[in-house]
Amino acid sequence: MPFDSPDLFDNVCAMSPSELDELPFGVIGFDEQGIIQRYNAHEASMADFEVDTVLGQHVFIELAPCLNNYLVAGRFEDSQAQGSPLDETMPYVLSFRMRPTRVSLRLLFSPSAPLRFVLVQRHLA
Amino acid sequence: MAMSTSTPTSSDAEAALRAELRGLMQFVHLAPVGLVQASLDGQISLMNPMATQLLAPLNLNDGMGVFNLFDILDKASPDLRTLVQTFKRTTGVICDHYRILLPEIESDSPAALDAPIALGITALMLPGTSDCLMVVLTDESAHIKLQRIKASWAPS
Repeated sequence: MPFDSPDLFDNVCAMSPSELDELPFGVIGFDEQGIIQRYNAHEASMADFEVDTVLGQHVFIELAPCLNNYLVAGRFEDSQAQGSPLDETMPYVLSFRMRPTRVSLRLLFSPSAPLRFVLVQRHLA
Repeated sequence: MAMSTSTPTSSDAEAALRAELRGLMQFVHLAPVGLVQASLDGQISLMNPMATQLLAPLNLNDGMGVFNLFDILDKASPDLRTLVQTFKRTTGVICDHYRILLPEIESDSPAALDAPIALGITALMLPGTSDCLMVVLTDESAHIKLQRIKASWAPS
């Protein structure tokens, strides 16, 4: 399933954790409180974090403080406040093991879904 | 009576080192200030998540190729580049909480109101290194906003 698939949100919502592990891009799924409920194998491998350690963490405080800003966390807050869906892809720089890395982020939110997602596509060097 | 003693093996030592490295990474990962290591010509080798967050208003996320701190900061102020180029010593503090204003964010999102509007820059040449700049970035937005509020209260 490609990163830019139009119906990606519905598919990701329906996938089991082991199915998410098969995807060739990072998947971080979290609930309304920001607690991480999904963290796939690709993301764990690229970020060098253990899945069991990450599950239960707060996405914007513990795992990815670099996303705790108006560009990412703020977009989810805006969408929730407005009750409107969010599906936006943007270029971004993440710090993996302190190395700045260009990625594409896809932000997915629906008022009717229990989980919201940040998907991470690394660019080829 | 013989006692069994366990001596640390090289794999134990390696595991301990890995755990220590992971702990240090986590420590820097969660630091509430931006930390950047760069060469004297500005090429960034290391930066923590808060640094990427604080530099986002300077279009850090756009563009291609390598990350150059001076090129990024040029969008707000060329002063750090000049300060580094004119610094004559091999170690020491180049600037301490040097404040720069960031460009205003063009966005309709209410969340954009939380974007940083000013940074404090502390830059050092570390001892024992010939081409290594350590830069600490702090969010000075609250200070600037307070200054503006005070200025608006000043009697005309």
